[in-house]
Amino acid sequence: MDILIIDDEESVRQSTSMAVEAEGHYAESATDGESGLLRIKEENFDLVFLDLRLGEESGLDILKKIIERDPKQLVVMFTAYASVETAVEATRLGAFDYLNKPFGTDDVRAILLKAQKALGTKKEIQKLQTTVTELKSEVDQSAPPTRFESEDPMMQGALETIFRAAKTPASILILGESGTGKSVIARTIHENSHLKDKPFVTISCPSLSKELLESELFGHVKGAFTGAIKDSWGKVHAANGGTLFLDEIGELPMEIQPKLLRLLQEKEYERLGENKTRTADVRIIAATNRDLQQSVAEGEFREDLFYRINVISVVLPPLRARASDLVRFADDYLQYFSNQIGSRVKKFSSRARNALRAYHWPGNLRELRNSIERATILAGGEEIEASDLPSGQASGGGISASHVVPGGDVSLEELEAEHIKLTVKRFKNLHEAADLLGIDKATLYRKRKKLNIE
Amino acid sequence: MDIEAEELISRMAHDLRTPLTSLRMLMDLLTEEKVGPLNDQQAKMIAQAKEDCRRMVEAVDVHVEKVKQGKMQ
Repeated sequence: MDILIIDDEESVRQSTSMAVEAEGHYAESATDGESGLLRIKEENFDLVFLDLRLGEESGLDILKKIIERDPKQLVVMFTAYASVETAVEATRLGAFDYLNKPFGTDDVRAILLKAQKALGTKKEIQKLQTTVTELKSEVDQSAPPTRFESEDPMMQGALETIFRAAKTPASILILGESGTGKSVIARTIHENSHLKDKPFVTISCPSLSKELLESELFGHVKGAFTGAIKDSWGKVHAANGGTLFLDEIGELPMEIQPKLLRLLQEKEYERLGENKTRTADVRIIAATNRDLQQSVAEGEFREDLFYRINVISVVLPPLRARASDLVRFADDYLQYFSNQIGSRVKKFSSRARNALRAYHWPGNLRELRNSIERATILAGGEEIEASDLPSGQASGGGISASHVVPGGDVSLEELEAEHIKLTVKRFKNLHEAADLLGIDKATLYRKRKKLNIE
Repeated sequence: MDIEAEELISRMAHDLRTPLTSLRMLMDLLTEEKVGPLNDQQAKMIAQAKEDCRRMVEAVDVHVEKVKQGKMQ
């Protein structure tokens, strides 16, 4: 370690230096506060020994200045008249420890060991932080860059809301079709929030059984259910103090909804099979491609929970409604995948470009990304041709791919069903769809049920 | 105890204990043979000096405490 000794007494400086050097460290001395501070500014000392009394100067004042400059600097005070008050004051100001005069070499050795340990921990934390940053940038590189600029007014509005709401503790509900980037937005909200240094934990509501989902959320104790062979902590515990992202919240089973509501309102929950009430403070971001209001109307989603998570909601528009963004994103993906595989494909032919614009993109960004990745690999020349795109896209299909067309061999009911299906798909909001169809929402709902339309 | 008395005792303790610090440290370094090997006679002499130094520290402690008590009354 590099050590600075600040003491006005030459004999103390000398003997301490010798004791420090005898342990294999580097020691340097300063005779007063000013020159000591100067050396601290010039060099990086691992440890500073500082006398409480430097002639007329107070060591505490100098300690204050050292800690002001670097709160992590290790400073050990030399005290002669060890009043408890002085020691408390020094610790309060940020001193690492103190040595009571007259100390011996064994006291110095003990302090050096203690400091070394503290520094070791400090360095280890720094190392871990660097590793995390490195890994994070590696992970970031393996995915195409996320672009948030949008030329679409609806998306611009959504982004503005997101960035403004991010810094508040309010729950945020993200609505949008699958593949519109809801998970990416959720993470972006977290990273732009006051909780960015706290955990961000995702839980996917579908795909798990009721019991497993509840255990995944709240944890369980051994024996709570078949297969619970040991105690576990849930994601609520892991997210404590940070953000909990509930993906596809529309799929959250009715039985779990009151428990989530309680967590949001009372910050309380229990692990499965345990009576002890535990507390957790989490910020909730939820996402769904369902019309939650309709789920509420149908009795599949609790109204009180809906209002609790719907404090701020944003709708991510589907890709087909963002024509100008679509082409930019396609270009981005093409550059990215082309660089990744070292391909010479750098652009789309004009026919391919038109095909991209004409397609319906039900899978949104995710589908676009996969299509472009595939096309980049398949492309033979320098351009991506319409034929490199999946057939549905090349023909500008999607909507018109159906055989159900007016004037064709089709019944009125089939035609009605197809028209309703496509209209509902076009609008996220059932109100708007009903408006366009010229019927009220209840009628639309009945027709959808009767015609078996999702 | 008033601030002035407190300050006086603090100064006295500092002035008495500071030279004792270097005495103790220097003798520690000698006995630990950090500056070179000692023969038996040298070791004995330093042990004696160390013992006297320890007594001195004790005496200082006692006197500082006495002054403190006196001032407090």
